[in-house]
Amino acid sequence: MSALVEPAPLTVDVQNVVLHFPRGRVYVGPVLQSLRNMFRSVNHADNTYTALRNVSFQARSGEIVGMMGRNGAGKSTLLRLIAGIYRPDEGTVRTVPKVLLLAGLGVGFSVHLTGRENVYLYGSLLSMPKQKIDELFEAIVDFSGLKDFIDQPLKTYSSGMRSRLGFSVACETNPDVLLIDETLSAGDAEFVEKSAARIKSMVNGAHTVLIASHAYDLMSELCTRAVFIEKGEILANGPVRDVINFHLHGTPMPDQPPTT
Amino acid sequence: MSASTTEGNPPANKLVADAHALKLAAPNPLQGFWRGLPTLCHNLYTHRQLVWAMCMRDIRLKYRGSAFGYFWSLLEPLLMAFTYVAFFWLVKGSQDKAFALLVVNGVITWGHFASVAQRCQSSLTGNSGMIESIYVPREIYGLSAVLSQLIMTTLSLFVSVPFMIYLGIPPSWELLAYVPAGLLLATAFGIGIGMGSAPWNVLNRDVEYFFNFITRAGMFLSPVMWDFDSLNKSMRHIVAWNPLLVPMEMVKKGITGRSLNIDANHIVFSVVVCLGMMILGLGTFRRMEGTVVKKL
Repeated sequence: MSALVEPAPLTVDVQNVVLHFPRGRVYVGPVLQSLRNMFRSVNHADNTYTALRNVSFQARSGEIVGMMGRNGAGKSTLLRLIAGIYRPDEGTVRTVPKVLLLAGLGVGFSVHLTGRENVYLYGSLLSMPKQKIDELFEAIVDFSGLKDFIDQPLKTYSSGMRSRLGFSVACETNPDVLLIDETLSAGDAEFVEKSAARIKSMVNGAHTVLIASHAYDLMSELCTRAVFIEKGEILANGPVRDVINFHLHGTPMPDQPPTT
Repeated sequence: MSASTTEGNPPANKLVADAHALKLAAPNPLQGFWRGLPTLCHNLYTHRQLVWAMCMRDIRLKYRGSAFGYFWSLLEPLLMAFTYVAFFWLVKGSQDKAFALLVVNGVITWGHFASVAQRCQSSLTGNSGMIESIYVPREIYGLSAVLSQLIMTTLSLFVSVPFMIYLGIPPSWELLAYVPAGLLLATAFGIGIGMGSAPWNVLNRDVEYFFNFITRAGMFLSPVMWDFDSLNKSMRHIVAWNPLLVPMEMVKKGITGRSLNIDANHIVFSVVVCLGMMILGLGTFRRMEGTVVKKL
């Protein structure tokens, strides 16, 4: 092997990010509270809590990074920040253009439209031309295994079916960075296996995948690296096994340079 | 080995291509008030397909599950106008023959403004699911709703055709000039009010409830049931402060083929206020949306 292996190009670069969330602290009745909120800066110091404290994180193409941490630790917030949904209060976030966040059960889908119409709407949300969606449509439906239901309104779908459709569209539309927030576990075992294989093949095509989940078995099988987030800070960053041990047993991280 | 020839000398063209393909940028950069407008135009152009897709979704969902479907957009202003005409016939007796036609178009234009403003205003709160899962420039939610409203209003204006045939009014150049101009001015003012208040509506839903009252009360201050020509001179100067007077009179007069009987300075005032409000509202929206999304 060459000693001078060029690192894969960066796809996500988060530097020293601080993110505050507003919250109402003292309850003074709906009307007064609302008036106060209207005239008060949303970032007023004693009216906020800090969701991310000085977080720096990088991912390169070809990586599958697992995000671990308790509920409310800031995993989803970090993913949303990378997706451009929140803007950092301090620090910088830079990404490649096509970043897709897959969160919840088919959020962003319109329940009154049919599966077919939703595929087209989702495709155009990802700025794909219509011809491109036409081309991919067969593959999306095949992968989701929902051929018989594709012309039914989405409200008739079960939550597992919705997440299948969402995952299929997300993969076929080929984002540079795919962010997955707790959606894999909704599918049945067969589909989880299928999508795990799919994620691996995406990464071969030089994509980056970030997964936030509590399914440690799946993550240790899939991920090339993991980070552990606690109270808005990244406490550990390295091989998946070590991060899981750090989290569950408090084993200190082996002293090695982080992979990025 | 062929690999040794590339050692320490990576294929230059591939790296350049990668660096170009993976250029990093902030996904949702903060923009100042004035930078926002050119960016918005650019964003709308690059996302034109999405705007169209969301607009068609709106139209498709509007009359979902109704037997009359599109005919409701003709039927609704007609029924409203019928109620007003019957009321005025009871109170005041005889009327201008074209009164019903004027009222129908007043109802349509005012309803258009109110819908545009309301749908822009609730564009952040109503699309929170999408906003929290994918980033596209957030003006698109409001502005695609405006586009679908514009299409539906244009369709409902065809309710005037039977009236015009009955009254023997031929289509005139006033119709072609005034009606689109008036409709676009009302749209601009609606966008300004709606987009400017959308971020405030996230912080505080009272904005929406207060605006519901404004749309009802404002109807009486706008030429829906009364006509500008029938007012005396001092009253005309007062009602001309309403920026929607000119657009509404334009639509009404355009359809009936009458000339616009309004002073030039009132027209200039209305055009400046409507367009200025649109710029102010869009600028406010762009400046605030990033902050208020955390409150959704």
